[in-house]
Amino acid sequence: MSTLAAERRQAIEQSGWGEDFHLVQPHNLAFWVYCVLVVGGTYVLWGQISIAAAAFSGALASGIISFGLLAVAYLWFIHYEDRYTTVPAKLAAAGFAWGAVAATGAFALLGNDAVMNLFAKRFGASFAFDWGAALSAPIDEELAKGAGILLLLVLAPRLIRSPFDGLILGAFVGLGFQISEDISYAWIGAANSFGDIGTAWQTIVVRTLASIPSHWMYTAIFGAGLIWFVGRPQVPARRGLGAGLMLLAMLMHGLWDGSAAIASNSVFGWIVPTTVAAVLISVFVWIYRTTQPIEREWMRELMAPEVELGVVTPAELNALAGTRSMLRGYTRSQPNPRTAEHVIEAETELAHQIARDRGADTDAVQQARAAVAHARAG
Amino acid sequence: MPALLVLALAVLLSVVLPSINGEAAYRNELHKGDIVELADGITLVPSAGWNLAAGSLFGHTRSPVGSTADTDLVNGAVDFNVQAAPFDGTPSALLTRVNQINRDLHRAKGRAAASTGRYPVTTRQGVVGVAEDFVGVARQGSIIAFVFRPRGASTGSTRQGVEIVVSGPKDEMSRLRDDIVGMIHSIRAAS
Repeated sequence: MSTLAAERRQAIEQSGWGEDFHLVQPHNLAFWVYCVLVVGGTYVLWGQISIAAAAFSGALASGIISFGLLAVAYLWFIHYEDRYTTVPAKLAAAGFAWGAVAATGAFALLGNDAVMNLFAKRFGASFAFDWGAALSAPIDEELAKGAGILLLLVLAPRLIRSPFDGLILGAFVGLGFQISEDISYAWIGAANSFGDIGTAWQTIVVRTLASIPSHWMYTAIFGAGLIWFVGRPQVPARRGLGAGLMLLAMLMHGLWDGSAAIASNSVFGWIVPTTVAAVLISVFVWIYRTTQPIEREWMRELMAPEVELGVVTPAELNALAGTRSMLRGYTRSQPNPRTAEHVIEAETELAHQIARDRGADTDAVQQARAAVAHARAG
Repeated sequence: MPALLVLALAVLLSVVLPSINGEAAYRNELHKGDIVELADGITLVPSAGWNLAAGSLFGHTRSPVGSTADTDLVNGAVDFNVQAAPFDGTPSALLTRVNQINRDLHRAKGRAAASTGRYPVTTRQGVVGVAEDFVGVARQGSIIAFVFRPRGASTGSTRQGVEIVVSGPKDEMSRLRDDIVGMIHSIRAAS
């Protein structure tokens, strides 16, 4: 039992599971840089929003409502996939805010515009028309979003402990950027069509349909790559792999943005976007599967003492610390799958409570154990 | 160190690059014979010596130009901006809509510009548009609206609205008047 308890404490220590995220760290320069750039980004975006609100309020409202709902769906999905040592909500919110406000307003808007204009001035408007976005946005935007992950890594080094955390935090940062950009495209679409709100809705439909191989996925891959590049105490740095993944995110972003110019008038115009989507999804799934084992091991070490106590069965521990298909297989094999699901949910909450209480046998942990027994009783 | 790196990146993208862009000059002047594609099926013949800041030169781009497109021609401090998009109405209705948007924007920005009465403008192809002039604090100019029916368009829903906004300092506008008028008259829909 003492060995298991020691392993539990070690798992909590190594994973940073259960720790709170405190954004306000006046002694930390990263906090002030975060604040300055979020405020600066807000100021720049406010200039745009005030224009949209004055002349294209219908398109702006449509964009905010539609993409707000899309954001909720993706937030749920990312949280659903982050089922082991979950990224704290405040850290996820700080990442989302960085992507939505700082990466767009303080980096990408002005940077992209300047680079596109420089391309037009140096190589001609036709070159900029074809390749400007493909050559500027992937670099400016991926670095801008990645900068947020780097700052949050400095602000929460004990919470970002594996490439899996980089993947999930990157997805939150990228989603913030994506939703902010989507909303601006909705009203800009109307502005470019003499205020026609129908164009805004076309934009909303197209960008919703194309929302899977987009910023949340680019930045998730970039985030995992960044963590591999710098390394963590339990995850040695793999600079080649890390740099490769960050470059891959940029390359896929560039190919997506340049797909119209690459395809030109060819009937095979769908090939580039389809390939980009397939590569992004495959790499995302590969990273997810490759980085999960350490998270699963932490879950196993955290909950192993509960098996000794008889709160959790060995089969339930395997399901808790297993892949999602293992979890599904377990619940479906039980006489009452719904009860089994409720037990697993209660045990997941127990794991979080144990982590929050640093492995101590507190009243809250006792209550969580009672909840497991209650769920088991049906 | 990472925080300073992030700050340096922000300064590079939001201050240094825009500043370099502000100082950079165009190196690709338009020549006689160039044709600018304003939207799918609608073209303009630019005056030699102007620069294409945004848009597409006919036959020089790989990406197809859609029915909604923005084109920007510049010469010194004079800006010749063309916005094209599907529009199912008359040139006068288009100008009214554009004016409404501009009034909303000016109200938001706390600026105002006095406009003259409307007058007709006819392209060399015979398409009649409507224009009005405006005078602001530092710039003056004109807004012109056309509605074209490009090749193959048989129904009202495929008509293309084209809004041109030309503006600049008074003396430069006067100096480039012939160029501006020539470019407006050159706009044509493929037939």
